[in-house]
Amino acid sequence: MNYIKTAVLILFFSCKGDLDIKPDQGLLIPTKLEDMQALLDNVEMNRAPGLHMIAGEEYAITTEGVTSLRTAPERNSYLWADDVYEGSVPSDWRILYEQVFYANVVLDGLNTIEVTEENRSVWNQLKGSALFFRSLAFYQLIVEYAMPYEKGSADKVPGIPLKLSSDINEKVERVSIRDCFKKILSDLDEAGPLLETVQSVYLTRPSRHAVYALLARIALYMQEYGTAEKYADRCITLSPGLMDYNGLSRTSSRPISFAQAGEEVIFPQFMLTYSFATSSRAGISEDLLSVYETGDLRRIIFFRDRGNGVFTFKGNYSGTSSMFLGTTTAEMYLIRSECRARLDDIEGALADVNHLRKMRWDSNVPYQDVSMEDREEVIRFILLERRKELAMRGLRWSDLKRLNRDSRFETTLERTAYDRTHILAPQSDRYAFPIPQIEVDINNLAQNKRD
Amino acid sequence: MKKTIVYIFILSVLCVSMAGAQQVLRGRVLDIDTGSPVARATVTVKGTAQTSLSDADGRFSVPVSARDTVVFHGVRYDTLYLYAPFGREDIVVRLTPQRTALQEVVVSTGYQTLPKERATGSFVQLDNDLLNRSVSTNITDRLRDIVPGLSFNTYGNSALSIRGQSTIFGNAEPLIVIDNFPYEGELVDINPNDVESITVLKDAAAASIWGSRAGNGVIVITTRKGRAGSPLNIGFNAGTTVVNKPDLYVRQTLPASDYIDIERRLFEEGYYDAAKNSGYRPLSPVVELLYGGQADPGRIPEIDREIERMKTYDVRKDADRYLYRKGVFQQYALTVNGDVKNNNYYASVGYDNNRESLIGNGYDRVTVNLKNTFRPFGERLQVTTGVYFSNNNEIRNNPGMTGLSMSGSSSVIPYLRLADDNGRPLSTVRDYSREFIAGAMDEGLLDWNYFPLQEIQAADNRLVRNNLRMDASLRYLIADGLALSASYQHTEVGSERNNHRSRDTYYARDLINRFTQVDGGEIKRPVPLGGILDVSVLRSLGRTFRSQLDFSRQFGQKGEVSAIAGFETRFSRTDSKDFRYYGYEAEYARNAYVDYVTDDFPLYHDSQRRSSIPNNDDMDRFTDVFRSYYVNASYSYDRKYILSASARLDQSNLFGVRANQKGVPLWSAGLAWNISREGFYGSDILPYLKLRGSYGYNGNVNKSVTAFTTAAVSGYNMYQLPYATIINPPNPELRWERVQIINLGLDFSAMDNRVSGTLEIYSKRGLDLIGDSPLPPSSGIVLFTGNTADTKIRGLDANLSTRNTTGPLKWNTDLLATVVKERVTGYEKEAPATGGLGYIQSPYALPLPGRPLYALYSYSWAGLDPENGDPMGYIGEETSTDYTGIFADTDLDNMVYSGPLRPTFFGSVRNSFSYGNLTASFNITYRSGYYFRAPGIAYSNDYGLSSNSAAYAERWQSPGDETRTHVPSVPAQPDGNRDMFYIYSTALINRGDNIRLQDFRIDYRFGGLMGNKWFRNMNVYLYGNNIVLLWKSNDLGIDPDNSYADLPFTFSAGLKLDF
Repeated sequence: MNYIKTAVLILFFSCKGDLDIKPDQGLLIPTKLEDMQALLDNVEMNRAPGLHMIAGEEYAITTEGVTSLRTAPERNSYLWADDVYEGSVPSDWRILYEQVFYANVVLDGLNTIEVTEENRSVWNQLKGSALFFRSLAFYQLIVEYAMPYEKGSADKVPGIPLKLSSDINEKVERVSIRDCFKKILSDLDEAGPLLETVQSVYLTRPSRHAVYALLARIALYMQEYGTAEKYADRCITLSPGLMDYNGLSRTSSRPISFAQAGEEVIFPQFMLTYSFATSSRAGISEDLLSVYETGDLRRIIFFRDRGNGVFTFKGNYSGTSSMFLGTTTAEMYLIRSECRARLDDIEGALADVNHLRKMRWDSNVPYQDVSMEDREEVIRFILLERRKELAMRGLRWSDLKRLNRDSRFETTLERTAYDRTHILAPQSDRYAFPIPQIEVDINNLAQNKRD
Repeated sequence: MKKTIVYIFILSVLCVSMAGAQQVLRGRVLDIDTGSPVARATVTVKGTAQTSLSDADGRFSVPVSARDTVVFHGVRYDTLYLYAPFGREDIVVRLTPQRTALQEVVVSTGYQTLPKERATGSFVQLDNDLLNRSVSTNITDRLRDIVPGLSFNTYGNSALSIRGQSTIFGNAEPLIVIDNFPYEGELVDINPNDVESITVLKDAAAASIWGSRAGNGVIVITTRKGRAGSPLNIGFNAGTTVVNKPDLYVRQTLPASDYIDIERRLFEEGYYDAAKNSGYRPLSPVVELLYGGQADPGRIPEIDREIERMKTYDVRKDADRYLYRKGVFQQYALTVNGDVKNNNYYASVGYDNNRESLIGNGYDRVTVNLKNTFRPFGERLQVTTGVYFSNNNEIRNNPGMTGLSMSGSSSVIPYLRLADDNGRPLSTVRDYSREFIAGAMDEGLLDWNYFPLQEIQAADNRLVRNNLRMDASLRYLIADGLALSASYQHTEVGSERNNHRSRDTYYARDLINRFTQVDGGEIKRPVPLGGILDVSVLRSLGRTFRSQLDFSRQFGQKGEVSAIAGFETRFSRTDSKDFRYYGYEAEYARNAYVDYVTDDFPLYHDSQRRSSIPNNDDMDRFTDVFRSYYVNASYSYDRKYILSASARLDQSNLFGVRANQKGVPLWSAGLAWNISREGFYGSDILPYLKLRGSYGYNGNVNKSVTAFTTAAVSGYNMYQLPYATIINPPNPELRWERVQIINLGLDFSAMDNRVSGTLEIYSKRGLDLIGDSPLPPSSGIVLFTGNTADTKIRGLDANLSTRNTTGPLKWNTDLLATVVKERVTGYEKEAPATGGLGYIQSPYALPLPGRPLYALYSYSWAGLDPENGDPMGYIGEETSTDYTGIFADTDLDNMVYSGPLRPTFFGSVRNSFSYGNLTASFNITYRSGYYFRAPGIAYSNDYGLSSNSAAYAERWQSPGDETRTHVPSVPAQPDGNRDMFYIYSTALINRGDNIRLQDFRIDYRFGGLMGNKWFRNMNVYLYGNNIVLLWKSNDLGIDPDNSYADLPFTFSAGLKLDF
């Protein structure tokens, strides 16, 4: 009996063998709040999709220029082709869902961390940030992959899959665009109070300010002008300052540094790398170049003559070659202005738009505020000002989708390449990009029509 | 008369003394291994008729005289000569059992030893004689060509494979077990002289006791220890190996004259103008001269003469003379073992000193091995302790030919000279043009010239590694047939590499100069004067504890059960640190500080570029924790039927809680049937016949994935905040890779043991292998690495031993044959978007279902265009030279699968002869069923200069050449796709099949000749390795297994003494 006791004792005597030890100390198993902050500080969280840029109205590229674009999705997006991706997984879709995944990892992780007095503010900031990033990604997915929003039919228009957990094996399906927006808006409502009011140093981190700006942008897309005005107004109250473009270099190929732009930037995003953004052959459309008046500094500061009549964009608020696509105070003035006009506050509308225009005006050229009375004329003027100010900011595609709902403001896009004229009608199905084939295959997602 | 009396007296005294010199020698004859008595051994006094037989207790007595030699001879024992045992009363003689084919072989699994006869699995046992047949510093080298199924790979991610590779991204090396514990250190730290035997475990029944680590097979190394009952035994070994210089002419490069002609052509076309205009980029000596001629046309005739002279130079001649020498490897070992009062001990000291063939490189090793087994309280309790220490020193001061290439080029200019006619080192072109260097030195920078031969002298790059293993075990016999044991092993490996580039080295001077700023005569040096010392420190710690119950018992007359069950925990941790000292002065052990923060120091040679000072600091820590439970049992009935089963459960910190909890055990079952013991079996043709089969699962570890969400800091964002990237998504489903193995074996012997052998067929299926598979990107992950891939291997291992002659001249033959057919059966990651191109041009293995992991894929070749020598391929059925079109058209269906990269049929034939004390053997090896891609020529934009291939001379030059060559013409326009198409076409695919005389050995044993006055036994041997390639199927002059001449001929001579 004694033997057996000893035997059992020795047999199961265990060295300290802790199965929870990290196999590689360099690995970070995100369990602490600071790890989660590091995940959300990832530069990929501030990336924005780009194919809608080249599909939009701002580029006019020659056949040769189209051929020189590096990837098939770029060429096909420009021409609104039947097959956009040619078998590849589009980076736009991938990066946005990667942001969703990071946000979900943080949200799932936060659920396992107890909130205490000491960690409450950090915990709140992280939760708000994750909700903000996820909502931002969802919104951008809707703009690119779903048909436009219309209040009446929103419950019938397919939106996008709302991936709400970090479990990579979980199957997802597309939900209606109304449900998408419902989730986005409620998440943003939850995020706002959790976040710091403004980010004074680390602009790349979300703030309540950024939530308001995003809400203003989304509400405008949904044609909820009252709501849009409310949030734009809050943003302007928080930070009313605008850059005076007279202080910027007119000759530099990088006229605006990110630090300078910081005065206006509410939340920065940078477009994914696409060859069209840096190509010397991907020219800006004459249509856009022609809208600027003499004395408008943006014409000089934003565009650069590459010869052969090709102009390219150099007015990035990033201060680098990467395209800045974030929210700015100027955009908030334009949103408030448009909403005021639509809500019949013509005076207020013009005050905003004139305030902005003045800051962009060459001080050597006499400046005069515009004044007009006809509401539609005022709206048209503001929309034109919007094109000028927000050129190459990734907003034209969503504006087209919104404005094409109203026959007064609709636009038919047209371009010539490969000896053919390509047309995108205002109500075309092609305003929703195709869902990547692999999602259709594995998750059985409904594909967008492309008639 | 008086004289007669004296004579008689002397004679009588002599007679008395002669009579006193007769004595009866008594003693016992024992088995040296087991200590059991040897009955019926003949004891003969040499030269007389005096003979007796030992009794059942091994006792004998025989009358002897002084200076007699007594010969002991037992059946199945080596004959022992005892010289003049006169004057000793009661002696113990220990006979060594003969090592013959069918003697009972004991195999070791690392957890237990069992007679091979009772094994159901696939074991290969290598005894001391076979392991010592070859001579090497490293023990694993001695496994080459003597184990069926074991291959040394020239391609792939493991050096060794046992029966192919059943993993894709996981660890593919077999598990090495030394003295019952897994060994994760460097194998070179083990002195081969300390190795007693090696068992290779190949199937599930053999290896599954190692569970999750046995998937690639297990190599169990048992080191020597003292034998119970053995007398004091001192052995000494000394050997010297001479290693030939590698043959630098194996790689067929452009002759200097062709090279220079191309350079001239490129020069005339302005190819070098950009480099010239950069003001600093290096130009080859010929190009420098040509620019000299351009600047001063008066010098042209002189320059032309100089260039003509250069055409006669050959850098390989200089390299052979100044970079290489004959390597000399020396090996010494002294061993002492014996048994004193229940304490058997073994102690050894080994010393190796390798002077490598690259001048300035070397290795030495000191090993100390101490082992003791005590039985303090009789037979019940056994205590074993062991200490193994090795100190390894490695010097790497000579990079060989790679130290001669010019920056931006991988090939070596063929007309470089390393020394002048008087042997004085010359500088060679490296990173900068001569003009630039002269200018910089005028400004006060350090000498910027590169002298390859001086570098070898100035370099000091050494590694010291100390490896310590200590183990202790207790074994207590609780009851008859039931023992409890506990063992513990502690390992510590510390290594430190110090790469000291003194201020004399080019590396230090170059880095200092690059950062030097000259400002109006004032010289600022952000990288301070002095040497640069790079230190890498690595420390590994391992602790293993194991407790085990052994049970064995007879049941009835014929049944026998033996079983083990145990528990093991293992912890190992490796810490590494790397750091660098600038301004290092070895003499004062002093260093200077540099500014690592500033990232825009201007670079002297290129004012466009700015840089920070290179920083090497880094640290890592890896920890493995395993916890395992195992059980293994076998039942044998009448030694006729044997049934075995084993199971093991592993847990580890690599896997999440869920995987550990689920704990799918790895298990095996085996059955053996000793047909020749059946009553009905009476075959005289095959007196021994055993059939065995096994089935089960082994596991494999892949450390690159874990069940947890893991991230790593991957950079700093625009605010210099560190950010993290997710490396591994949460994968709670993660589990061990498994290998399902079915093995069927047949052991036989025939014709009175003249013929014996083993034949095994097997199937190995890799299941749940870690592989990449696509996920819908909405999950946030595009490519998922998890248990998604499968492989399948089928194969055959055979060995056949024959004793061709008996009698005084003995001739034995050992034939080994292995067939291994591997393929990937499941791999979910889709073919790359580039289709066939992805597989064909991939620099690493891309798994493709239905094909081996290591496979060659090619473009279909349609010959050279007779008009212009363009390589032609196919688009559809049509021949074409539209290479982009061919690439686009080549998909998975019409790309050519050229065959496996690893041999699929290989083995060896070893013939051994012995005559008296002389033995000789040689081994012929063969490898077949694999392919290689011969190096081709890529013309690039320099007419093939950077390709530096002798194939240039074979190129298509005029119509009609296409019938004799497949080397394309020089293209009118540089065309990278044309180059790629040719290089990856079937034109360059060749079979790798070859037969070579691998090695030979001659031994002479002086044991019987000189008796045992000073030593019991003396062996003198000669050994040659990598002797000659007898046949190869390709006619390109390429040895597919030795294409870099890294296996040069070696010749060894040595001596082995036993006292």
